[in-house]
Amino acid sequence: MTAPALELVDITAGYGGGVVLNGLNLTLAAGSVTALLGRNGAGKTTLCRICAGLLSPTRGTVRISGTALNDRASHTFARHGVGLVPQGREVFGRLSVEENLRLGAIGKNMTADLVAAYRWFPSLEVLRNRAAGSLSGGEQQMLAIARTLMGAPRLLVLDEPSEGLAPVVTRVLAARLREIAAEAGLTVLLVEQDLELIQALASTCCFLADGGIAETVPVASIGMDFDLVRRHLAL
Amino acid sequence: MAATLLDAVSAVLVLVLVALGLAVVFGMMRVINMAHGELVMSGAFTVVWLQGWHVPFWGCVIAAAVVVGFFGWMIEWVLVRHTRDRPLDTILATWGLSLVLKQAIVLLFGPGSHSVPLPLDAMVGLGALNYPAYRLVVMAIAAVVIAGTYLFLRCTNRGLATRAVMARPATAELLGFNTDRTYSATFAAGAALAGLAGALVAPLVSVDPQMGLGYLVPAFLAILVGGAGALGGVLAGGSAVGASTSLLGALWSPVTVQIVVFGLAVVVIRLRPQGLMRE
Ligand SMILES: Nc1ncnc2c1ncn2[C@@H]1O[C@H](COP(=O)(O)OP(=O)(O)OP(=O)(O)O)[C@@H](O)[C@H]1O
Ligand SMILES: [Mg+2]
Repeated sequence: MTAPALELVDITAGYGGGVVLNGLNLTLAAGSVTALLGRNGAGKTTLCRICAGLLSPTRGTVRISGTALNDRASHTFARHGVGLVPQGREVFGRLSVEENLRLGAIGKNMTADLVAAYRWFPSLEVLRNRAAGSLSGGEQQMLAIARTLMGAPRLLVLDEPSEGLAPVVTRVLAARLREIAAEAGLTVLLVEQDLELIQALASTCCFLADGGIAETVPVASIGMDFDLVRRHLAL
Repeated sequence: MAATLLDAVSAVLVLVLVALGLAVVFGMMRVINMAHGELVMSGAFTVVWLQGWHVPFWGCVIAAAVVVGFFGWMIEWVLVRHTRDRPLDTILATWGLSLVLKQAIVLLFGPGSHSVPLPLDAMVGLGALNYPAYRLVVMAIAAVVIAGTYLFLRCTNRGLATRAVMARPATAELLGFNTDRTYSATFAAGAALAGLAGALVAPLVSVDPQMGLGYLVPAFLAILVGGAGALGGVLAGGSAVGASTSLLGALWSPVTVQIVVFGLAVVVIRLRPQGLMRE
């Protein structure tokens, strides 16, 4: 049996003195697609940062495909197959679309051909020589996702990919992501508020509250059960 | 007149070479290296020292770049890395380092000045003008190194990675770039540029433990005037400061020139606080 793509064991983490995550446990089986919901400030981004090694937990263990990577630099996480698409996209605004994509392919000496990226997101090919900072929000989001995919991650962590996107763009994004995840056999952790995107992609849904995973349910079961969502998100 | 112009070009190229190392380190790491002038001095003294062992001059120049580059790598590792998130501390730490370096040189070589013989005595005839061949060689080397730095940053994968780390270190780290290693390489490269500049000017100036300040101040002015973000800014700032210092130097005394250039720099910074080359 293959090791889980991600294991967070008894994770406690925060900033300065404040504790955001407290004794959190989460395991993602290889090849699974899991959604993470939680209200604003619940610690979703904090959890993503821990998965990618940008933040070290004060207690607990982070295992990526069976290897404990506590206190290692973030680039080590990337080399172990973690790809985080950060909230806010963080494209290199002064560099061109193509240069951004090449930077994602560092593991292949930045010479990987970008055909795959343009196949996934055809609109990027037209924009290849534009400065990334001049793209629209949706285009930047596609660029950020494509850039991360160029590194051929095994665990893809998406922090609110639909944030600031028009619903129709979100739908296109959902379709693309589903194809890509299936094609590459990716394990996906999807932090989202958009229920439609969650239902299109994920099979399991975790709710983050009070510093831990409060409940884990199959996505199919929340189809009609808006009470469940409302209870956790206090909408 | 033509000689004055060539002198100005030569002053500009040497200044840009010195400012380049300072600007790359500042632009990339937000570290103001107060010891940069002493790295220039170390390059010059490497030549003085090795010439005592009868090493040929061009061997000394290469050695100076390598030795000072290695030295920079150590400085980053020992000193800068631990204070990087606190800009004021890096200023103090590198300033302290500059004092230590000066004292070390005084202990090793004495407080007096040294001279390095010109490696090329010949004059080159340029039309009606006779100009020292060595100065022309220095100009050519400086121009090639400046262009090489530009091409490295623009056209190579490593240069692209360097620009990415400069713009968004955390994101670059996320994509798998070892930013710590990029930082130490950058600091070493900046130091190597300073060492090279020091070695090249050694035969043209008097080499003494106090010479560093004379390079640090104009390089700072050049970066302030031009902006440190892009290489174009360093070129523009270096040209403005280097050319005005050199051209006015043909008319007035050095002190007057320094006051005037400083005043001009203040005016430029007032008019264009973002630097000459920023949109
Ligand atoms: N750099 C930081 N320094 C101090 N506190 C922080 C920092 N980043 C986040 N926090 C705090 O940690 C808590 C969790 O933040 P986090 O960004 O993980 O929330 P989130 O669930 O991603 O929220 P959102 O839905 O708004 O993106 C918040 O209370 C926030 O104020
Ligand atoms: Mg967030």
